[in-house]
Amino acid sequence: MSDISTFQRLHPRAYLQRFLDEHLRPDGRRPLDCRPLELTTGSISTADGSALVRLGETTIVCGVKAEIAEPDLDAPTRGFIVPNVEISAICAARFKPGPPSEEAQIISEQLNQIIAKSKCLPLDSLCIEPRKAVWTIYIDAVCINYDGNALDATLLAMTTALSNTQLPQARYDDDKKMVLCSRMNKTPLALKTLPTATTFGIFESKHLLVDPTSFEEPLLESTVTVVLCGSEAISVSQVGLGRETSPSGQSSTSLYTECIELAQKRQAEILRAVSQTNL
Amino acid sequence: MDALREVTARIERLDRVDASARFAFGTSSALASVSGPIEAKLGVEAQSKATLDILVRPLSGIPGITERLLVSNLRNVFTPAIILGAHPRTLIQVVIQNLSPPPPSSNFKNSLFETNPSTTAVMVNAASIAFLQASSLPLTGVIVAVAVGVSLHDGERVILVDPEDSELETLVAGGVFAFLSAQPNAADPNDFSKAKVVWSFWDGTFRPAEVSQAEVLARAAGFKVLRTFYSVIFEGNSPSMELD
Amino acid sequence: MAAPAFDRRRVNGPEESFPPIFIDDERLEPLNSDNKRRDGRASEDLRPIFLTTGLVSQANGSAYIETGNTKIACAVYAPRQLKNTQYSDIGRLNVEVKFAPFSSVRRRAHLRDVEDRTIGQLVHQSLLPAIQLHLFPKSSIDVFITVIENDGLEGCVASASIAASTALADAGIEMDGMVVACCAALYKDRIWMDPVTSERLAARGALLLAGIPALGTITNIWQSGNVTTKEALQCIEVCYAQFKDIHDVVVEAIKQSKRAKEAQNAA
Repeated sequence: MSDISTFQRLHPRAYLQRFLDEHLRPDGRRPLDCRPLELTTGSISTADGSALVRLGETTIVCGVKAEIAEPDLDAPTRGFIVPNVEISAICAARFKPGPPSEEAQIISEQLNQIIAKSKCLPLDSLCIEPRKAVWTIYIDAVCINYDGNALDATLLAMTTALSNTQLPQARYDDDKKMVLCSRMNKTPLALKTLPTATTFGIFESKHLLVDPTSFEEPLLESTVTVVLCGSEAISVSQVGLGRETSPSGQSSTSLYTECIELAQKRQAEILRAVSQTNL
Repeated sequence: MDALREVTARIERLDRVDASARFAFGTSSALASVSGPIEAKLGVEAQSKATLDILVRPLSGIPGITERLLVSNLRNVFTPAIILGAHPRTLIQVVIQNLSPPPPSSNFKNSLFETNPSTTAVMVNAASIAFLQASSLPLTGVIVAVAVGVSLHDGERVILVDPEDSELETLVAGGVFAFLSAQPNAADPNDFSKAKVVWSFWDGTFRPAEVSQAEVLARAAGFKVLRTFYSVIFEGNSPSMELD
Repeated sequence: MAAPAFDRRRVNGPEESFPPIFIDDERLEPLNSDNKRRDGRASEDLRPIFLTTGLVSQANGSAYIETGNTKIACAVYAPRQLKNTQYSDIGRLNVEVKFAPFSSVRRRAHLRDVEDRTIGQLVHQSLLPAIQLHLFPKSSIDVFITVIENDGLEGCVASASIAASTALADAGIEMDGMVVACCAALYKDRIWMDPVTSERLAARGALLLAGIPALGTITNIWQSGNVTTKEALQCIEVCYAQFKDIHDVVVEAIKQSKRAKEAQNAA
């Protein structure tokens, strides 16, 4: 092992600090640079829609499967969206085999809330026959290679897979009391503006780092997540003490405003990548 | 619009824990217990600091991933408030029982807030009082949390501190601010202006001016909450108190 | 299939949901009108194999394999310290296979189903004789396999075994030789190599063969369905005949991975 990687393992904080003193990060990025993004869609024939996202080294495969279910009694026209991500033993050394890792559970819940709150896929649009049948959209993502920022990458994989999804035409047959579908006629989902997430980390209450890697993640005391939907920020959060500012207390709003501006730039990059994929 | 609902703060006497407390804003209520430092199981033991283990129990059913996400956030909220390095290789266990009844079944018009954000705020506050009462753990400061909502009334956006369940359907934005007050001084109200935001989230359209204003209101309300903590801890048990 | 009961570690959907039923489902005849296989292959043709290494950055070794629609990722974490177990003077091989929920025509519910474990055991059995476990006392060799898409279960086991042995080599785990695998199905009086799902459903039996071509040995046979002894032996022969070609693909992938590593070290 070379001297540098020994230093990195024994003193990760000092290692990162040395880089940031030079306004660089260990992978050669500037603090506010994101990693390169690669998108592929529709490569999984067993799924109704699919996408593969590579954000730097982080690799997420996502497949959508549509099934038919009975709606809830108190919401007879609303379908279901069920997003889950698997971050298991294959993708990094610290994840163990077995039930979903804590990381996976947290990100699944975050994605569930983002997708619900953005209303990007209206639940009413999944109705086949009120009170009888609705679509259930299972969005399953699998992390193949984990190198940090799984939330941003997985949300992108999920939204891209959704926009790649085609539902078979379905009608409720009253005589047979069942739903019949047609393989010939397929329609895309009734998607509205898709949400994008941008995650920031704050190191030593000072340095704002966008799109953190798995090496940087455990060293960050605070994280800021911005979810944009079109021209609006629909959800922002700051966990941890944030950034050191003037001694007279500190407001999260200025940090938010800065992060939202950066997230908007990122959103433009993401949307460009998505539109190139769909060409 | 900047008034909190009735604040209830009470020291509880639960057995087998080092301290317990109940905290409520109106109907939003939570019960929390703190034990620590206690023996850590081998798997969770950390060599240089205490392990902070938080459990959140829902009102009914078993904890799911919603609670898991909340726990992960709460761990990050309380970590800067506790000097974990003072008790290496031990465990600090916090159990928070949600006691807020679910809001009256809205007909799903507003999926933005299916539960009142104040539910989260009272859980933070209950745990915070339990930490103060336990006094077995060195703290860097006290955490208080307040929820804020933006309600749409006849086309006008109004900021509400600590929204009521009945107001949930009118909310178009909102969130929670949690502050870490590091130099608590109940006598000097200006002191709370130095309290740092240790956790905040905002759902719904983000308008910078609105969120700034919400934070200011939450900070003012947070100071009132902090004074309640002190009157409960230092001036003896007052079963319930109404704020001025 | 009914979704599993409430899972407190996942986002839960409705209690029950069913895959769509199609009115215009074409009957999938295994043969084309000109008596060829649907994908145009001759009976003895394998699907082309795409094999590459090094897709999981934190793993000691990894591989990705694509044969037709079948897509499998494999990562090896080894050697790892064996904790909480008795002293063992040889290494222990762990193989975990996971099917992505979207990997099959029917969505696979999350709860680990029986098939995953069977597939894991088959891959385990194929690899075990090749690994020099005596060199890894007190250690475990963890092989994690994720099936991203599955088209033909026997082919899936074969591809997973190939990917796993490539990933083990990528991780620098000492082996007596590379393990390769191949499968065949019996349809009427024909033998189809490397059957896809629709062919397997039409077939009356199938056989998977794994072995170490460098030593001329076989390590695993998995036969299912209704076939005569003679036919089974015939399948073994035709599968074995393919081993050399598959072995060449594996060797090429490992050479490439070695070159990539050398280039990285030089840089």
